[in-house]
Amino acid sequence: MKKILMLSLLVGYIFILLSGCAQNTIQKHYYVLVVEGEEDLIKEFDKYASVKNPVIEIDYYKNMKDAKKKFPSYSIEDSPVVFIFSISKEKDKNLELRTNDNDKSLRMLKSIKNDKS
Amino acid sequence: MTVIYEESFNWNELFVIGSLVLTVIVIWITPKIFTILEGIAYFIYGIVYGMFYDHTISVKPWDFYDVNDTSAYQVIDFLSYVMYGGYSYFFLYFYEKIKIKGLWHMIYVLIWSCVSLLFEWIGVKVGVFHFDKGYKMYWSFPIYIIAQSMLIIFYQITKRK
Repeated sequence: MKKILMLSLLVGYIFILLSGCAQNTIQKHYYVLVVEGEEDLIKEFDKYASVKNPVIEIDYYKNMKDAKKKFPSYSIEDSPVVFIFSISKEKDKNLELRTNDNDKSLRMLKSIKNDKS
Repeated sequence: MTVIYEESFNWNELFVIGSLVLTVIVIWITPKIFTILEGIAYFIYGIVYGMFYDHTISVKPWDFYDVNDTSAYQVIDFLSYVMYGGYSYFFLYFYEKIKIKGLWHMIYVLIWSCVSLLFEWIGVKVGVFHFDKGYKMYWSFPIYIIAQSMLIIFYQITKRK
């Protein structure tokens, strides 16, 4: 009886492991950098952060000085500013959008999130 | 999403490290009225209670506020929880020294809750707490009252043993 129980547990465990491997969807990955302007939009952007396909990683800077220091190559001169990058399989960042218009960036994030194919 | 409030070593780090060092030194130099085991238990109570509430209401689905420089968990966040230990220790230290009895329990808890709110206000000003997500400071008042009342109950139980 004990052996049957152990064997069924082992089979169940292997099945769970294999079912995890069976998922064959292409994971889309985006990185978003937001530098806040006069308006606090933490909640607006937080809605689009996601750890599932598509992965949307968001860094929200409250302070432009810190963002400029951290990303000197992005030439951040005014705020608000939003950068949306797509991340390739090779982990390269491709700039998809750079805008000072929060609404435009939120619209793009919405379309990215809805496009799960 | 990670919210980055600021990234430099400044007042919030100094407040946390300063409070922690100061309370530990004062615990060290003041006359001992608890056994080592009791003292450790009362210190740990503060750490556990702070962590419990922070990790309940400052994470999703509620996510009312952030602690220190970023919304991600950092070493200074851990130290800020350890900092609570000194406050819970001194809460019981003065409770025992003054020999609080009867209705004075309520006054004692109310005074400590007001002092805790004052420290929280300082914490907001120096950047330990960020209430940008909508948290109201007065929501902490009942939390302090419950935490301190439970600490007194815990103390009374340990004293009887």
